[in-house]
Amino acid sequence: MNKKTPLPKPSLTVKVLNVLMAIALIVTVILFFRMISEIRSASARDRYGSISYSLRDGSYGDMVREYYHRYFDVAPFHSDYEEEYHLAAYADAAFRFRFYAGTGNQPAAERTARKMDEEQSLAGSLSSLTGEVDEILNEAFPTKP
Amino acid sequence: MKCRYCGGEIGLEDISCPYCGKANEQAVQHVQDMSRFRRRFAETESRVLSKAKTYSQVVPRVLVILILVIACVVMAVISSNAYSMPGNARRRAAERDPSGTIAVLESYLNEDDYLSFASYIEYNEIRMYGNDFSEYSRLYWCAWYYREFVIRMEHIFLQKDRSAWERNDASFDIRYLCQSITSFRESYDTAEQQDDPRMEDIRKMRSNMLDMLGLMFGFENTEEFFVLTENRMAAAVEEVLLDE
Repeated sequence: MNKKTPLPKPSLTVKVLNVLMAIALIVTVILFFRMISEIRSASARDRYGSISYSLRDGSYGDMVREYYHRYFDVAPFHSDYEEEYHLAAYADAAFRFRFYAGTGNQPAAERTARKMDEEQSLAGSLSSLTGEVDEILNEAFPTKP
Repeated sequence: MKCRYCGGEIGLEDISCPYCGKANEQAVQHVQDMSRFRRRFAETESRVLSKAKTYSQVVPRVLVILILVIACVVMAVISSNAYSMPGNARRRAAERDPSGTIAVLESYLNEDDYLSFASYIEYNEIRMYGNDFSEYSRLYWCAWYYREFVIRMEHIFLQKDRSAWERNDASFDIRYLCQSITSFRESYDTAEQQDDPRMEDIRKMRSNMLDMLGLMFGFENTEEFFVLTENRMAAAVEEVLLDE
């Protein structure tokens, strides 16, 4: 005849483990959201840039810097910023074209002129701004192409 | 069994003989033994159940905590490496195919496109020592400073609002431009001393820099400007750009 023993109260060990489990769960949730946020932000850093802000401020120099430092033509352009990057590439080519033309490096100047045409056609709705880039450079360069 | 007094048949649990009425000592002993065994069994059963209960409460909790701790460690490692992971992946891809990577680098060099050369290496985070790319190590650093020089020049001259640039960025741009020149100069000198196999490309970059300084700032003796200290360079550039 087995007497039914009453259920024992949770031991101290179990209570401590419950508390530890709750803490671990909270930390896990926090770290999970932090990880997601870090990955998103890292991916944004890798794919997006401040190029549109530079365009808004009319700083084509900043756009070129962004182009070389972050995207560069081997990296996939994000479709949202594709036109900005082609405009930056145009500005870079336009500067170098004037430099090569000014120093008499004709082969390089011709090569860069082709690049300018290419980038202008890819700049889409921003291609109208290439005129402004040319104007700025015409004023800056002592020699005219 | 038989009664030791009258020899009548009695059961093991009969306390007294039903024939002679005498006590059955073996039965008494048996009852006592059984009672003791039951008590011990109950104690053992209780102990075993208690232990089992404890383990059934503790072990799953410990396992859950262990899993959560492992998950925390993994997530912390991923979080801290989130920024370097895309670059590492590109580097591994570039280093897995050195001949393909070298072909791309050579295509840039064939066109004297040192900016793209430097950016390609930087973007793919290619290591330039102890591997197939070691040959490009010094050239890369020269190209890197050359690129910074050209980008800074473009930054200076591609401003729509010149007065805003003069107010906000001019001194920083000029300082950085001069830094890029002196850093290039140091890399150039080292490459020359070590008779770098890519010296021809490095000389082209230097020549371009001198031409650009001459063209944009109107310096007559660019060789002389090129060996100035950073501060004197900055002063000379400021004089041209800011009329100071």
